[in-house]
Amino acid sequence: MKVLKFLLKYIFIFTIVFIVYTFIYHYQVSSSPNVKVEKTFIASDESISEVAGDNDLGYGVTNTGLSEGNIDKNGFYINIPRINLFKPIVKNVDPRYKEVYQESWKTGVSHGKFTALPDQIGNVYLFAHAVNDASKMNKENAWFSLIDELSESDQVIVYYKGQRYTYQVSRIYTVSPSATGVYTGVSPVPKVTMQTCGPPRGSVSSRYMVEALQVYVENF
Amino acid sequence: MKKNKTLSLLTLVGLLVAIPVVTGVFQRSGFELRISALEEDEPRNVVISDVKSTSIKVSWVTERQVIGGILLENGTQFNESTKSSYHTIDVTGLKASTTYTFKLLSDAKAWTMETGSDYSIKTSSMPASSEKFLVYGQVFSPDGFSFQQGGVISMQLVSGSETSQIVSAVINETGGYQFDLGGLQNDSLIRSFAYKQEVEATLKVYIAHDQEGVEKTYSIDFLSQRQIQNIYLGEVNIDIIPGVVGE
Repeated sequence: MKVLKFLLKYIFIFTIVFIVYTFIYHYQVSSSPNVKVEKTFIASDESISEVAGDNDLGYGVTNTGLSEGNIDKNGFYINIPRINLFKPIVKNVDPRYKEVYQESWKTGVSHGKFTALPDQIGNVYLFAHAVNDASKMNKENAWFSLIDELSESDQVIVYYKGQRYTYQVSRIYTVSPSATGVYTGVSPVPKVTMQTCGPPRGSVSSRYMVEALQVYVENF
Repeated sequence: MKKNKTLSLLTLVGLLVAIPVVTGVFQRSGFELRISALEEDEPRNVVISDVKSTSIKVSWVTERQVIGGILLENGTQFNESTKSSYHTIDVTGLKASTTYTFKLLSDAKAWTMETGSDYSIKTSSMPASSEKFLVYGQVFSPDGFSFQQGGVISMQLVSGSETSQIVSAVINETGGYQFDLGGLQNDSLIRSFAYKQEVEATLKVYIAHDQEGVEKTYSIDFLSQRQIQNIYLGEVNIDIIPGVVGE
């Protein structure tokens, strides 16, 4: 009987302590502030929109006459002076769906879904079509037809949410079409990776890759 | 007797409850008990680097998060915009081949070297180069798996009998850092250092206010690569460069 009383007493104490601990734990978890990790390399806090839905620019924008002076300051654009390319960028385009990314090219260059944005530390993945005959570039929405003319140290400028991000070409390489490992938002430093078809220009047998590292960030 | 037992029981329960509650309150309010011989704001592991004809870079570590700054002898100040434990400031608008002395600032409090003298550096006589050649890498924390969030890193290259000047950078929140080797000079600041070749690179990472830097040396060919091998601060040492599938 004594042993039973002894056991009951300690079971009672244990139960009380357990209840109090559980209460404290739940109180601390439920009242903890939501930590928002900024500049993550995953575009997780962005509202992912389909190409035909809400994007920064809308449709019907062409490269005709685009310049720093007349673009939407809160928009998303790419400017590569070396090849005279100035186009809107369509945000969060899913590269798994051909009809989706082809639709986005009517507006401009595609930004890969789940990859970083310019204001984050990571890899901003941009892709667009290329055609062998550059004179058909506008007609076929083949905005990256001339990126094979870029060389190391050329500038790539991206405008995003009122900031001008200047990148410098640091690496040019080719991969096979099955090399999906290049599609990533992860990078220890902010950079842009541009992908198109080729070489030879426009060929689907390989992928032409241009990487550019971030050099400056300025208001514009 | 029964009353005493009840009292003891209540005291026991009270103690068991009070300890985690008090600890929790301290944790939530950011209270920390510190026993340190170093002043929290004192700049440590100071690196003067990237010395050019019109600019220098100064990097250092403080224990407490402060707004870092530099106070030149002529009264000019360069201040950071946000609080941090890891500081790097580009001091610009300098004259070539001129000796500058300066103090470091922690929330406006001025600090000299431990000897009591101001920091001092002579700018290069070689004209500043506009060339940029960015190289980068990533630092992993002592656990070997997560990124080292913050820190100061410096690098010096050796090629044959020549040693480069020091370049430095702050490690970002994903463990990344970036150096600009454009216009890199030798350590005497009298001629350019040829970095686009195979070189021995010694990197020092400072992550703690009161500790020496962790040093790593790699052989790197900057003619063919911009990414420096991963730096692991712990025992894990898997020095690989992420490859590209199918490349």
